[in-house]
Amino acid sequence: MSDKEILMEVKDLVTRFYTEDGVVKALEGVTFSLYKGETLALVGETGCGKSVTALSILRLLGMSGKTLKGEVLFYDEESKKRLGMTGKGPIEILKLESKQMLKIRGFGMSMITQDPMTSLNPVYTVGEQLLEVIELHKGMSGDEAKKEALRLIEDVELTPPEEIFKKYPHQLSGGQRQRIVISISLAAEPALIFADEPTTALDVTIQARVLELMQELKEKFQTSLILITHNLGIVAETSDRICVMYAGRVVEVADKFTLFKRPLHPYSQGLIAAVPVVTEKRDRLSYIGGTVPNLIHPPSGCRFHPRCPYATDICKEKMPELKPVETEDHLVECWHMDEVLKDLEEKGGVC
Amino acid sequence: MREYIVKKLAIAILVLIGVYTITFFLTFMLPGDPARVSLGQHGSEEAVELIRQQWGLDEPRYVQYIAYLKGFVKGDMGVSFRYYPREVIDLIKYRFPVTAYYGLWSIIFAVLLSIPLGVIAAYKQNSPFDNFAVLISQIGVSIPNFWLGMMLIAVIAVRLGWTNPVPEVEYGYYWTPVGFFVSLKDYALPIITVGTGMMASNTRLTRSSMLEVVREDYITLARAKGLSERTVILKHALRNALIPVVTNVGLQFLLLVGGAVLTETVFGINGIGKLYIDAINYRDYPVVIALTLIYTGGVVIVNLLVDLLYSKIDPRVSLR
Repeated sequence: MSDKEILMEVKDLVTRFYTEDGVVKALEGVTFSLYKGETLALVGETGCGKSVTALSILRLLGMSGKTLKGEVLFYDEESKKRLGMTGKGPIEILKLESKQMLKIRGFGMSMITQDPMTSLNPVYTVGEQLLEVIELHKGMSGDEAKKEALRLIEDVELTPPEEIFKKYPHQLSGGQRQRIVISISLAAEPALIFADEPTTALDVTIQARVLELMQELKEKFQTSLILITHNLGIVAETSDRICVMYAGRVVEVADKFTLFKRPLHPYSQGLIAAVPVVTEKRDRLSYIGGTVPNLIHPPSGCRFHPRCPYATDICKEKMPELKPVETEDHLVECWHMDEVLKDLEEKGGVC
Repeated sequence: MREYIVKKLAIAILVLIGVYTITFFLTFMLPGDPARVSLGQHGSEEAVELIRQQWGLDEPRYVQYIAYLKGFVKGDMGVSFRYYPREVIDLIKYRFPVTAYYGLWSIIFAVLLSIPLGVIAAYKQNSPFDNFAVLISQIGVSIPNFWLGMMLIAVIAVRLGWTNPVPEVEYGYYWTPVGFFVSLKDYALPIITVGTGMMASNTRLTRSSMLEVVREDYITLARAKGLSERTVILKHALRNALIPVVTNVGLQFLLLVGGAVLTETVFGINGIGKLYIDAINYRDYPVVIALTLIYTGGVVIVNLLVDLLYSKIDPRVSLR
């Protein structure tokens, strides 16, 4: 990231789900930015709001979900052109009309869904599902569109493309299907792709290849990627920066190396420590005590305080804010940074 | 595919023989002697005995069983007891058009109303429209159709005078191109009577099936592609949601016969349903057996059509 050009800024996103059991406070002020061409990993436990963040930005929360507050500023020139916007300012995604949003989805930002077994419509052929995006966003039709679809199938290394084109999803394997989902998300060459656990449902043997492929295609199309995962191995392998989320808040943002070597937020520390290392001899796996909080009645103040070894009264009362620690790019939200840093000194600087 | 159809039809023959056997012995187990029923209380013993001989009722059961079976194989359904000496096949041929007419319209009525209703209700889940649709279908499912028929006659035909309480259309006119639509006015009440229950259960099924489908990942992906809501719902969701609905509509074709018995009694329509119930009352066994077998054949054919339609809608279904 030498030229740090910003693609998207997400500011103070607040999202709620209205369920029969109560209001789920899924996102409570999520803030992060994304640079052009980078891979940003959103990591955290299940239910911490990773996927909801993506859906909030794409505005696909469905009927029970609503984003109450916040800003999503999207700096993609192509999308601005498509919307007919002139001038310097970014697109304010959350203020677009739903019709305008249709021009952004698939074109400016798209999505790779989690489970390839259920992500493709079973009653249409792969070709039909690919053509849909091409016709919609590239203005192609007939033979030209079909050629483009075949090229996309080739891009994700499925052969022979002619045959794959005619197949129904159930005639393909999980890995093949996920490649098709990837090609659909790439079809209009969007500036940003959300990949929600893109390899979780795949066999370990093909996970690596699918990730590699995504990486190659991302570079080829100069796309930014927001990778949603709880698999820290994948994060280490593929991402540039990491955004750690906990119970609807971003608790720490840093580049990959910093975050793995010197995580500062007590939650990130616990998360990294929980990754088993084969070369080290440990008697027991490390874990974070307690459980993920219920987001209908989230803890007051800092949402991590019930599980945090550093917690004091202030943590129960006031929510901390993301602040740079040590360097400009390392953001942490914690009331007790001083103590955490002191502890780190004693341990020799590394977690 | 052809192999599949042949196989199904072969099985159908076995089913027909089984149904024939059961119906034959069940009808003859009914109390009451057809010859006696046809002559009435005051017919002399000699006359009754004469008729029994004429109809072959004096033969042993198994001889009668085989005689009928032989007839069916040759396509001869025998002679009606009640309308002696008219052929059963002629009676059925004469009664069939009117039942087919309002039956077909009932299905059209049910399908055309229920699918849009179900789709919109699901799309606007928990809205007033949805609540209304749920209420309507709940009521529709619970109302017995003979009662609905009588109420319709009482209110719409008699009180309001919008239509005739009993259809007054010339025999066969309803199957002419113009008559097909013109006769709707006279047959509206029977059509609503039969169609309401079907419409109600289809609406419920479409709604719940849609609600399930719109939660699928491929619907999220379709939306993430930038497709309009219209395309997402009508192209991606509906086709998947229709799969269980098709089965239900197929079943409803079969329920028509049961509905016809009640509806034709209430509206005084001389159709298959009336023929069936009268045949049972008059111990007209040849007609009862013939209609039961035709009904069985209908079940087999409708099931086959549903299977074929299934494989058209859902490529995952392969017919083997």
